[in-house]
Amino acid sequence: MSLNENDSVIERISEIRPSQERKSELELLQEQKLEIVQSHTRNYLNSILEQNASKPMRIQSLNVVGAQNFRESFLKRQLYPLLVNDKLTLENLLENIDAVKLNFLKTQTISNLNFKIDSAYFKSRSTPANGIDLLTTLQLIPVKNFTAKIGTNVGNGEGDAYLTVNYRNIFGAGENLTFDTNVSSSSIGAKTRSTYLLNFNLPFNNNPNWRLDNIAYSTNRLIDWCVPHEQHITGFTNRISSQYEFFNHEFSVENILRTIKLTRPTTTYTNQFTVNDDILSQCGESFKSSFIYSLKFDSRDNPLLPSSGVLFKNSTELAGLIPLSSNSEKNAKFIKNQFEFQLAQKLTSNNLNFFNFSLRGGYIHNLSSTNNTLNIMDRFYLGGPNDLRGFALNGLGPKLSGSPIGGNFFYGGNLSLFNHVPKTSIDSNFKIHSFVNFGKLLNIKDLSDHDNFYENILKDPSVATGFGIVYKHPVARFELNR
Amino acid sequence: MASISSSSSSSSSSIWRVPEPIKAVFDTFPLKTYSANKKSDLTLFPQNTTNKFELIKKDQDQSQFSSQGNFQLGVYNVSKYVKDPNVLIPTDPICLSTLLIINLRNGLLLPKVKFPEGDNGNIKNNNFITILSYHASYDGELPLLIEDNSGKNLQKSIKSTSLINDLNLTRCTDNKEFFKCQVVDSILYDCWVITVLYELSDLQKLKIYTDLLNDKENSMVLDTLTLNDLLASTLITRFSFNIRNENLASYWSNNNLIKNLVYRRSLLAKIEMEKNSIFRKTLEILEIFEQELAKSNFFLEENNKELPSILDCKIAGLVYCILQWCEGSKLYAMINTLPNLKSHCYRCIDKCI
Repeated sequence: MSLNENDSVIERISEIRPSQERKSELELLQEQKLEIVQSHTRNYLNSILEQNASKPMRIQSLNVVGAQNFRESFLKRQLYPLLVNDKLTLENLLENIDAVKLNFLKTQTISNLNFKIDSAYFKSRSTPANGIDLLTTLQLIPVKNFTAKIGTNVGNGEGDAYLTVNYRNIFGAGENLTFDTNVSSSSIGAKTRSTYLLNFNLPFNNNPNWRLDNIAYSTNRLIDWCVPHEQHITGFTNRISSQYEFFNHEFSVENILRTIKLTRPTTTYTNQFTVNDDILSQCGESFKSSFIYSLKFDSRDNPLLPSSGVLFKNSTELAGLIPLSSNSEKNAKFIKNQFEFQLAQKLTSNNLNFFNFSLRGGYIHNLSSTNNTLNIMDRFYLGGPNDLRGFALNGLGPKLSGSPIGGNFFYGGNLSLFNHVPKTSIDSNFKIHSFVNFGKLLNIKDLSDHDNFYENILKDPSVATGFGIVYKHPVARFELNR
Repeated sequence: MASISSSSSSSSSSIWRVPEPIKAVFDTFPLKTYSANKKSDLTLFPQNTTNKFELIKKDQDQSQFSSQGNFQLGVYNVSKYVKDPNVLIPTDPICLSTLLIINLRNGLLLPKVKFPEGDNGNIKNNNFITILSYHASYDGELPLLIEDNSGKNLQKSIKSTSLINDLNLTRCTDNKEFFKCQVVDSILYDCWVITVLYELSDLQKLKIYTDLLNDKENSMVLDTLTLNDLLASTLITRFSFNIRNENLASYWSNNNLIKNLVYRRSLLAKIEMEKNSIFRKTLEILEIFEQELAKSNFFLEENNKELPSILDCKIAGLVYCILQWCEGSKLYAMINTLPNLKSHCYRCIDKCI
């Protein structure tokens, strides 16, 4: 996206570093010669492949170099496309090689794959007269089995330390073990956030398209955008998720113990929120056992700043599977549904101008007969630069003593127009951004109780409009808006 | 001088001056910024009223002090009063004595299970007790006094257990009462703590210190999992128990697991000594109190109106909880032999019914 295919590497380097010494005429001629030879070889190979695309093939033998790192059943499953010889043509063969490479990459067990084809010395009887018998060699280059990262970040009055340990392909079937920990502090002696996570994941039943994650975690974070409190979560999540190109499913079972503890306002953040009845009644331990199903369709060209494609995501959570406490108020029991839709469309053919439209919504229905309030960790919150621009962080919706308390119904939308910044290169990552946001967050007793849904619930959303500059970095998107 | 300043200002304005078109745009937008609506909308806030119990006012003539402002007292749990099952009473002795002191000073009655109006959720008088988790307190200790600060809009002030106790102690009529209160808060409280830690079952502990319902006959996984944290956070530090009984506190603290394992034998011997010392002192003190009560209904009678004093409330709260929860324990056996203290405790509580 950022480079044109016609741009040569040498040209680009010379643009970046114009002070570099000019190459001699002989060197230039040698480079041109090399380029011509490569181009000729490429064209020749392409013409052979095109001419023989429908030629029958038969893989007589498949040698796998590096197979000692994998279990047999796992290898068989990943190599399955190459083990089918029926009606195999050259075109099919190349597709199958791609499929095998994709299989291995999805299981995160190899860093690269090399494939070598030779014609066999002896032709098999089952091979058609015009067919070719092949001797194939597959070289699997495994990922590093063990990696560890440790580090600290120190800033002005704050700092954090992290440790990440990865042990990959433990038993030879793509089993990975990840330990991740991060502790941060905003003042000396105070821990504002800590995360400990242990994840054991593997391809489900050796299938590269499905992954099973078993995660144990303990996180602790300080919430200071409302009445200051600590949220501590300890639990297990078991998740099966698909890894297809467009449509994906995710099934999770979550069993977590949650603790909410009131904390004194920190000296670094002078928030104005005083204690209210809601947070007081929420303090303490509670247990959530839930089943979550998510469906996702994503055809966007880029998840950070898409210029074309569609995203649709729907997630349904049913909580209250296992009652662990004798007090029913401590067992979360609800059904929660959330959806997100995003449409990205080019306005000009050269990808310079495009728009994004997104719409989100959600509703939680409390299933508890004794407890009429939802846990504050389960509620929806709306507002903030990453959510609804122009509003305070989680600042929309019901409040008590000036502090946001969240809600059980919300909708929000955004229409953004991205335009090319004049006098910048065509592939510039900067865009002019104009947007309109809208959204509403409510606490409603029962969705079906409201006669006039539009009048009582949808009408009068909070709206904000503005413009600014957006920068698409490979890992994140930065916005400066007014 | 004047020329220098004028040239400097003109150069700064030329460099830093915002171009007119940009200034015009930023002056125009946002068209209007709406401030947050600070008024709370209670219709949008589903209130949890199941853990709140209203404190009804006594007849105004009988009360010595009038209630100023609204408050709620956060307690661990409540149970039915043994003499009147329609009345609810806090399960922890400090919470109970604090509630008795507040009620007597403000002319309030103990909360009822069923209100005469028959509507528990319809709280008209905004003074009530609330069952809270110990996590609702900054230092993990209850009771907690939450008062509406009438001077500042929407503000609530929170008074911690130690602050409430300090304020109560300032109301002691003389030094004698003050020191007796200190004895109750130290030696008698220590005895209550070791009785809870060593002689009560997990279910009893949960019934006193969590919102486990009293009619439930067994706890469940979550309740039992969190019990040790609760005891270490709330009982061990309250009223400086950990300073007076270093070995006991160390044993029950979560931070000394390895140390406790290594020095387990010597630590247990020291703990036994500490426990024996506390029981011995408790018996001596209770016998002194018993003798004092043989002469009068209350330790001190304020203004000759036969109203319990701070000391009366503290002792009554403790004695009632021992009788209610500690049956079969060493402390219960002690109290059972002291009839004056038993009748005194019911006399004090009955003043708030």
